[in-house]
Amino acid sequence: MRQLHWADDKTITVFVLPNQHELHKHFSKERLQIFPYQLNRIWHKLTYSGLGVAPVVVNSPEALIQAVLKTPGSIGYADEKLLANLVSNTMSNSNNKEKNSGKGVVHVVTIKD
Amino acid sequence: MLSQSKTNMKWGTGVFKSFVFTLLLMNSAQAASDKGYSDSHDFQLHGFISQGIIDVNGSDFVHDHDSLSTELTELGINASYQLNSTFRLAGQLVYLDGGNRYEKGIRVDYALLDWSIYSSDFWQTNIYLGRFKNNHWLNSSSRVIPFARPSIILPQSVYFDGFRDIAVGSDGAAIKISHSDDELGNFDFNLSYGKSPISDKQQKILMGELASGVAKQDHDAQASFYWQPAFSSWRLGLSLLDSDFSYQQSETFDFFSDANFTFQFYTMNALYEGEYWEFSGEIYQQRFITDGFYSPIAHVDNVGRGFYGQTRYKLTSDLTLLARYEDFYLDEDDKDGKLLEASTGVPYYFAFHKDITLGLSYDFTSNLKVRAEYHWVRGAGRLTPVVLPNPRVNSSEDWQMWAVQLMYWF
Repeated sequence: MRQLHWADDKTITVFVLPNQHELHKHFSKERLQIFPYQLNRIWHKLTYSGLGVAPVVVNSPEALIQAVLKTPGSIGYADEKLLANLVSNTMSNSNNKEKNSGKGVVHVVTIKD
Repeated sequence: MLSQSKTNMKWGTGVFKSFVFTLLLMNSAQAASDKGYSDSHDFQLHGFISQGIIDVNGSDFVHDHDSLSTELTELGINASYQLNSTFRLAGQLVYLDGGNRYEKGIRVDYALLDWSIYSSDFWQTNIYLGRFKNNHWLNSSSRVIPFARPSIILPQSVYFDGFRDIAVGSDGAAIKISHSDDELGNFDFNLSYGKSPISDKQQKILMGELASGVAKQDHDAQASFYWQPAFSSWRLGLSLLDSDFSYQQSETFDFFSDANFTFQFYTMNALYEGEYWEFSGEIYQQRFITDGFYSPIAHVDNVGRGFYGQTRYKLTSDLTLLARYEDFYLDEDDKDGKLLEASTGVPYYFAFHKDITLGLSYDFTSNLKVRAEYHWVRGAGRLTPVVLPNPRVNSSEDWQMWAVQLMYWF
């Protein structure tokens, strides 16, 4: 979670939902194994103390998907159904699949129950 | 590209119907069309607005008289611009109004060049040049941020508002080395060297109106080390500070003599963050050496100690309760202040500071919060001015205050 750059030295841009969004809470707690308020403490310190750059907060899951699609080297999370609707059906049902859609390569990691 | 993909896998495996997805490579045409969008994230603008009311009964902490005050204003705006993958510029301006607590007005909170000199899967090293924040104590870098610190008024024995503008940061250089792995956990090592200007108002807050000479900070050297064991809710830290100040008496008339001051401060801290409970505390020792000032041959060497313990409980995801106890004395040889009173006439209760705090905070949204708290304080050891205490206004050993603050940030 502390990694700032990809292997090619390009900066990782992270998009997240607001702190109180249920998807953010669930993803933070269940996947990152960290409580949302802990992330907030770390990110607030980065943002308002000059130490670094915190993730970019977007207002909705739709906006998050669009932001990741438009930003090379970015990362985010999304609900399966919403992602399927917004991106492409072929992308939504596979694990660790790379898709070259003509607009670039989107890498999807499916996280199952 | 494959290595990039593997990095993402560290974010987790299993559970929940959500995706982690990344856009790793774009063809040139699309990349060009979205370049503006991408570049927009190189520049970030953030800020905060907070306003509160505070009522102090029995001390000059905010006012020389007891009355409800709106002098609890904190505003800030900051910008960060990523020049490339190695260099970043960042700065923040803040406006503060806290009555007697510190100088009213705008100041540069930080203005720095962030140089990422090494970054790998496990290590990060950054050098900060310019005006940087004190990142050594548990709440030193977040004390300016109303919504990030744990309470409206922080434990004064560590985060003394009278000393705020000197302790909050320095002009100089700092280095941060971080290591993170799944076996040993997270390590952070910070080292900084610099100094802070002392404004006329800051000098009066510390020394009173009678000191008509010029005080300055000669240097401030600090180091700290933090360790969070792997997959642990605990984080442990320690910090060391050594700082020298000097005072040059006024050429016309001055009650005080030329002086050199040395301030040393050592802390150990612990932080536990559970799902509902949070525990934190710091224990500390300070040594304050004065050569001169009261007279050309005066030599004073005091060692003070203290601690605070704090717990927060998340009653709901939005409502958090706070309880804290703080205990501090300025001189280990005079914990009850009897020697102070006998030798100077200054009341004994100026030798210590104890504070019981209860409070709560409520998050209306992800960036709108209200906080309220009540303090029962015993002692005047953390009231200003420090050098020449004011027992006429601070005539009571026990005093209280409450405050409510609304804060918004973006």
